[in-house]
Amino acid sequence: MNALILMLSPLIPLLLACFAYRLQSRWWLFAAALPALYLGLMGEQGSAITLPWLMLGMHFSLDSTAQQFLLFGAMIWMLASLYIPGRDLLPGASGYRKQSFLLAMTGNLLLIIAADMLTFYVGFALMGLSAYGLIWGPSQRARKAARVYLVFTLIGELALFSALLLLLVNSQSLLFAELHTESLPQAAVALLLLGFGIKVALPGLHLWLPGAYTLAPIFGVALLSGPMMKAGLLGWLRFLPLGEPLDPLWGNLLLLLGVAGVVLGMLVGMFQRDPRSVLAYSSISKMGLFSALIGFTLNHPGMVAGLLPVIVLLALHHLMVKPMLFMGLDLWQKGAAAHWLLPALTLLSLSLMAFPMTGGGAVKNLMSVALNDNLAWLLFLGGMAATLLMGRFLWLLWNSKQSAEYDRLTLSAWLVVLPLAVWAPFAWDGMSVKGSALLPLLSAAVLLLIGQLLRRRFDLLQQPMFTQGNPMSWRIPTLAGERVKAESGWQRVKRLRQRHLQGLVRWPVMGLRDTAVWWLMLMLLLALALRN
Amino acid sequence: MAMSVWLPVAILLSSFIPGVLIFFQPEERRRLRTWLNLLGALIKLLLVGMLIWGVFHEQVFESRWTMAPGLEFVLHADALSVLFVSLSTLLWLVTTIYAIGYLEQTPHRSRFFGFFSLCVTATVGLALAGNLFTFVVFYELLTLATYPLIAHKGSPEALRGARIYLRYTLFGGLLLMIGAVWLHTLTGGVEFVEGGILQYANLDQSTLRWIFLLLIVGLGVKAALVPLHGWLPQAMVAPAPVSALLHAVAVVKAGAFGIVRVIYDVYGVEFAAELGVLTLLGAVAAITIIYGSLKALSQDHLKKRLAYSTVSQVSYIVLGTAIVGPLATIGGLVHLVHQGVMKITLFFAAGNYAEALGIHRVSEMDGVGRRMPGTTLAFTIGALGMIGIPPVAGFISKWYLGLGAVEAGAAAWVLPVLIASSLLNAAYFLPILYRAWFKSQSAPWPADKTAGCVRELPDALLWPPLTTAAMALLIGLFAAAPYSPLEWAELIAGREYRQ
Amino acid sequence: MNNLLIWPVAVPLLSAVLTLLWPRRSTWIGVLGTTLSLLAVVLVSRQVVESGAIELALGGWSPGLGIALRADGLSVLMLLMSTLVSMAVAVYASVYISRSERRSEFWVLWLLLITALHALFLSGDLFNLYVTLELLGLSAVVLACLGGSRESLQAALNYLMLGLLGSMAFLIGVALIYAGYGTLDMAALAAAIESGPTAWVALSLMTGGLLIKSALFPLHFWLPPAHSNAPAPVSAVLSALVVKAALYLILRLWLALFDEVVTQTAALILGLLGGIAVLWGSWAALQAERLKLMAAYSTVAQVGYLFLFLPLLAALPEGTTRDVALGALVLLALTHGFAKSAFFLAAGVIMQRAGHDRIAELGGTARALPVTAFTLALAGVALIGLPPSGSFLAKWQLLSSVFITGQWIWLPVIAVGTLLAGAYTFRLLGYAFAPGEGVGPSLSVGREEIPAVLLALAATLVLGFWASAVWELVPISAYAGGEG
Repeated sequence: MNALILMLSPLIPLLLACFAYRLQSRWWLFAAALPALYLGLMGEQGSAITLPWLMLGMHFSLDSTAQQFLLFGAMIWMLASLYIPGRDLLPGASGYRKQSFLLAMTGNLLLIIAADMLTFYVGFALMGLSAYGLIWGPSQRARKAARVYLVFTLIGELALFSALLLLLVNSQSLLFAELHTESLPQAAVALLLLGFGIKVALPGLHLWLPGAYTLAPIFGVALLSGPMMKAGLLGWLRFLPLGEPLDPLWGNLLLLLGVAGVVLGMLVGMFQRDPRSVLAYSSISKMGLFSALIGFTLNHPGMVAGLLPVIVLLALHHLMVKPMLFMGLDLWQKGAAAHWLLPALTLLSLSLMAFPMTGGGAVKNLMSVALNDNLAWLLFLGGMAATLLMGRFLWLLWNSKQSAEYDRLTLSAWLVVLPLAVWAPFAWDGMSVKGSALLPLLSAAVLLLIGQLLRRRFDLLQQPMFTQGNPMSWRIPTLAGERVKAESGWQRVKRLRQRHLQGLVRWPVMGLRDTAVWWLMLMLLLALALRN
Repeated sequence: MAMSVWLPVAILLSSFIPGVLIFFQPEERRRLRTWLNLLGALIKLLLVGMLIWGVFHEQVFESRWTMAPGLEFVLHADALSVLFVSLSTLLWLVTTIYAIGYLEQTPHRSRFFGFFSLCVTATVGLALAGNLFTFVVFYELLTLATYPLIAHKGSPEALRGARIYLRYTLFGGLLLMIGAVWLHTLTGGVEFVEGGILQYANLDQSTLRWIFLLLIVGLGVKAALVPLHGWLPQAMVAPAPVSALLHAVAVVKAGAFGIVRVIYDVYGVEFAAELGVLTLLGAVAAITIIYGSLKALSQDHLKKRLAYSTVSQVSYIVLGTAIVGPLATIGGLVHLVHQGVMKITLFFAAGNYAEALGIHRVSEMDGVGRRMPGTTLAFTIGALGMIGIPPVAGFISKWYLGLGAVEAGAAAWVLPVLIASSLLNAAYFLPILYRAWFKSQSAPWPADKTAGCVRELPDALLWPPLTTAAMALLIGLFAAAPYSPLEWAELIAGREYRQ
Repeated sequence: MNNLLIWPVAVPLLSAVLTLLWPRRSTWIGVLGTTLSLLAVVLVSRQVVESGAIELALGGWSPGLGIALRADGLSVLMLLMSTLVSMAVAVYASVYISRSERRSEFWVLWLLLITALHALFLSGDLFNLYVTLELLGLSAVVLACLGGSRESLQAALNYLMLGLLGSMAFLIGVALIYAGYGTLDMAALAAAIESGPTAWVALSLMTGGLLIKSALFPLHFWLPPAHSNAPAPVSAVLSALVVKAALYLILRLWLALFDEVVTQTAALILGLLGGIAVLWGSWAALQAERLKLMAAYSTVAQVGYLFLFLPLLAALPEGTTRDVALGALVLLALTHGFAKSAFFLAAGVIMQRAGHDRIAELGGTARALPVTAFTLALAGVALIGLPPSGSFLAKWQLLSSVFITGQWIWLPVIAVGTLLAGAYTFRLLGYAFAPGEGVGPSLSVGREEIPAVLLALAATLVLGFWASAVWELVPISAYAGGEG
């Protein structure tokens, strides 16, 4: 039974994709991830199925990593499906969102449950290419962003393809379990770093990311930043010979690149005006942290057993939080219930900063334990980057304009998933509630202060060099060159309160649809809670 | 016992006889002609089915006929020929249906279908040829049967294309023949034997190298190896079904198939490698792959772009052959089938665009996906397959080619070629898909013949590309299933490397 | 049963006499006579196949004095070709010539020509050969000027004068032989002739005469005008058969009678001339503006191919390989006979229908005359030497001999010749298959189109697939010490 569902989880979205032109309800897309969700919640670990006739023989299996990825991935897929605007579901809609969504989901689920390299690759390629349709938009810039994304993806895929061939010939088997890790060809490692590095947006390979993240529709960004980006990470976990001795060159390289990513994401992100861009660079920074951790793990085979689960956990946490932030930002910009959103977004940000009492904080604790006091500087750096970026994000959010056209369903669903995103790591054993964000937080504050002083002092950042690209702006965006007076904090709170009341008035007319979402999500929450 | 003798002959006759009969049908007897065509194609399919079963169970099918002292006309079915025979038979059926729809209301249909059947007869004969002599016979016959098809429209461009085609192929045929005679004179008869025969012949090595050069250049003309490819882009003036068959099964494939035959069943791949000729061939194939893709990039004419893509793709087969090792062999052989199925889909689709909307150029394709979704879907699958996106069939070919290269220690130059080619394929196919699906119509269609119709095209034009696209998808998706092309290629490779 | 041998000669001769007696029924008698001689030839061939070479001494005198007829493999093959071709041409001519008032003259000469041909192929002594050669030449000349135009008369006159010159040379050669060896019987001579001045001179004279008749480069210049201006059926026989008769004689002389005399150098000279003929003839055919002229030049080239065999045959040791090469030579001659006659007949159809045979104005032929266009295509295939025609096999063996003997010099000749043949054939086909109004529409397949297509099919399919018979027949020789 489990094996059957294992097979169904990618098959159902695939079949739906074939008939997507007839699907006019987003519930189909929502439901497509249900088998995966079931597996994530109740699937038996170790269940496996081999389809020898499919392609070159495909092997699916459900190990604990896969199960966790499935669970959280499925939730984000389901949530994102609700964000697809109605006009994209109409027959004759431009951009093939439904098809792209379902195919990307197929690929994503496939690679998660893949037990062999080829299956993983197929899923990875399917996901990567279909995501083109998630980024594409009719505007010139969106088209360009999609094109850049596609070029990078293709290069990544071909690198991966070559790496696979080298690995296969080296180990004479496609199965991950039989992956021969001794005498791994150096070229294969390099190609793996390149192939997945593009998806993970290592510095230098990240050029596709800012465009795609700022110009794609919100559900696309959510998926890209969550399940898809983490697929690259999963790829490393699956393919790299973790726990085996390897030329330290590679571990060091990855560590170096990762640190560069953290710093780069932080520095550039701070200069962004668009909150979405900030989130995008925050992703680069965060993925840099992951990369660095994996690089460290590569060089310390003895610590793999302790580190690996924590890296997975950290990744999963980010997998949930980052899309939630994007979607929350979208809700905010569309003028959704700001009275809930602002605290909610702040909560998410705090979790990303690893604030005590949040999932992020808990995982970070776990991580420092697992690292055995190594790399404390890295964690510190990462935490600081996250803090700075999230601060910048919240600041921009506070100052950004709002329209009033949101779909309330999306808000409801978002709010349901929110606690999961923030506190899900606590569902794992051995979590402490303690956080350790204080130090980075404080240093970030100091940094901000210094920055502000420096700006005042030298007006450094008004130089054309900065203003033309992504100037750091502490001011409210100006309209038509005229500097408008900032809304004072108090006025803002008053306005938000107004809207809160309006929201309460509207609440009783909540439709069946919203109820269903709430109900489903609640059950999910319960299930998750009961899982251990 | 008797069946083993008559079956190969019957397979040939099943298209030859209808072809001859069709010549004598007056133009207006459309129904009879259609029946003859389809009957022949179906009978052939049935016979080939029997052949597949037999060869799989190691039965021997062979017909011999002495044509001159020392020159025997031999039809022999081994696993390799079965691979090619089944491909041509299947695609012939589909193409016939397509051609019936495509040539509706055009003149000279009896002539067309007559030569069409002869063309397939020659192709199947090539596949079944049991020795080099028979192969040369059918190789030349193929030239003859395709010339009228390319010239079919009778327009000055068509005649010009056909003339260029002829120039190249007669030249190639001549070189092949000289090489074949030479080898024949040295050995007293060149039967195709799995594993090759020349390694035991104890002949002068430099002579063998010269002969190899002659044979490969002769075959390379049809296989469109650079710099012998010049005829292929010109030949795209032919009607769409002809281009489809030409690029997928008949001419180009015949050349590639011949190269496979010569290397595996005449020289023996290890012996050829020992002679050092494979390195050169591999280099030529690599250059062809890259050059074809580069040229394709700059073509605005859709069929020309596809033609250059064929130049590039067919050399995958040659590349797979030039790398020593069973995995590369599998890759090359399976691409023989895969490229055929994918390329025929692309040409069907190109024909449909021209037929329905008068679209001949890539720049006219904006928004065609909405107008002709079925055709464009088929085109998309074919194009993705060409790039090598899983799970379409082309991926499997590339996988095995790459694997073979790694296994043979040739990864350092083969993998970059494969990767560059894939990127280039993407660079010239994806913009087409982009225009078709994502852009909206920017100018009126050049010649809208289906305005006001409910469906995008008649069934006979729409279903063939969809069928072949589905095939391309399925043979990739179920590559490891029994009787799949991959399975069959593995069987062949197993037999070639038996010693 | 040896009397059978007389029939292939007697039947056409009797029919010719009958035609003179009943000129009104000339068509009927002509066709019937040709048919009956076909029957006779078939009977003779059967016997040769079954029991080997046969011989008949006319009038009961022993060979050496009287007229001896001999049939062996080679002669039977030539006979079969000539009678089959003439049969088809006769059917064609019965339609083509019926409109002409010179019908009866045509048929008389036609039957005489067949008589001469058959007698030539069957002759067992040199003097008979001379007589038949003369008869053949004369009837051919008269037939050639039946077209009646000024050019055809002029061409026929040239043909006549050159033919006479050739015959005279041949006759002197024969006389020298008789003076030297005291016999003209070929079987006896085959054993007797040794290398010596008499033999050299005689062979040179006889060969020289025959070279004129076979139009080997550079003695070919009379052929194109004569062949292209004659009426179509006549052109067909001239190109297909009459030229081959001279070649047959050369083969007999070089391989059977004078095999002791022949030197490699002499053969090489003929081969070189043949090579030049191949290139020059093909090139000229490519330049030709008229269909029949093209066909005539193509004959020049094809004759060249046949001569290419001579140096190879001379270099090959006696035995199987040489027999294979000889068979290839014969096969090439046969294929060319069938193909070229088919070609000329088709050209005749086009000429009658279109009123001209200018190649550049032949657009629409394929639509108006599909069968004829098909004939041209098939014949063209055989002329190029593409499979499945007999000439493909022959060319294969020719190349094979080139490789065996190591005479590489012929390789480029054959290659370029083949490509040029392809060029001129497909140039013609390109025009014929192009749309156009050059040829008026036709409603049905005319009776005259059928023989042509049958001949073309014989050249491409029958001789391709059943050619091994040629190699079985060729070694059956009537002349000991000869090619067998």
